[in-house]
Amino acid sequence: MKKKLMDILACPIDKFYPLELYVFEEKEEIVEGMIVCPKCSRWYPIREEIPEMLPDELREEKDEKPFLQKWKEKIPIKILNEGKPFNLKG
Amino acid sequence: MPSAIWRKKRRIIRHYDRLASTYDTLYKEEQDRKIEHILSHIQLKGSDLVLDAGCGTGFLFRHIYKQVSNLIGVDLSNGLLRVALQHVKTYGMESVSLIRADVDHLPFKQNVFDNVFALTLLQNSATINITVQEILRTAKNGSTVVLTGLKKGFSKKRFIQTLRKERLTFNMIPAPASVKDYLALCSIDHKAKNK
Repeated sequence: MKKKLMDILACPIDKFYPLELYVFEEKEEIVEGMIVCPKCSRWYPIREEIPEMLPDELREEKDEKPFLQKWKEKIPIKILNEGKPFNLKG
Repeated sequence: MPSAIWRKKRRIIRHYDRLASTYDTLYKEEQDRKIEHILSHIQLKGSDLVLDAGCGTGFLFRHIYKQVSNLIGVDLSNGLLRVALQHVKTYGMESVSLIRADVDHLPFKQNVFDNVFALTLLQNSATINITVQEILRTAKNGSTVVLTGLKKGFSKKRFIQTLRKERLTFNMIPAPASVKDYLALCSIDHKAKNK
């Protein structure tokens, strides 16, 4: 994912912007990372260069929780504990 | 949204994920014919920011990636997007970005795109009015939006009625019988629409 994409992104649910970007792995582009909506606390993974910004109903806990586990050292505590639609506390 | 709509969206994801590896072989010729016909009716500018809503494996990208500065492809299917990413890398399509998203919940600010293409998309929507409204929300005032309706999924009358319901200003692009969609070229005027 190219960083400049952040200029046009908004949360797909509440349409809030600007969103926050956390980069976990970067080559020419962002390979792994996370986009966070600071208003609703939803987080969206960037997996293998593609951001996944799906509504809650199309996301699966079995795919999302391992992502939080994998990058927990780099993810803000607030998202680990209270992030939507999944977090490591719930 | 009712749960039946989410079930349909999940079915669509599974369907296209399964098709991903053979998608190009099945549809490239047909889609290329349609895209070439549409592009002969519109003018893109180098500075344009373009959205391809329901981009699939990126048939449109290969036709326009050299002409525009930023081209965003959105699709629900991870399988199709992975094939699209391979094409982006193979052809060095620097202007293209991919996002996995639902066209009824687009992850964009309003009024950002100069051109939007939603090709062979609407027949998969269970909530066509919501899909069209969400696409229009992201289109700039004065932009061009191309919407197509697969003839298998729409009568011409129903397709036109759908667009009229959204109070769109549009022209139908005449197309040869070999093009399997009805093609509409919409001019976006948010002020007139909200009057």
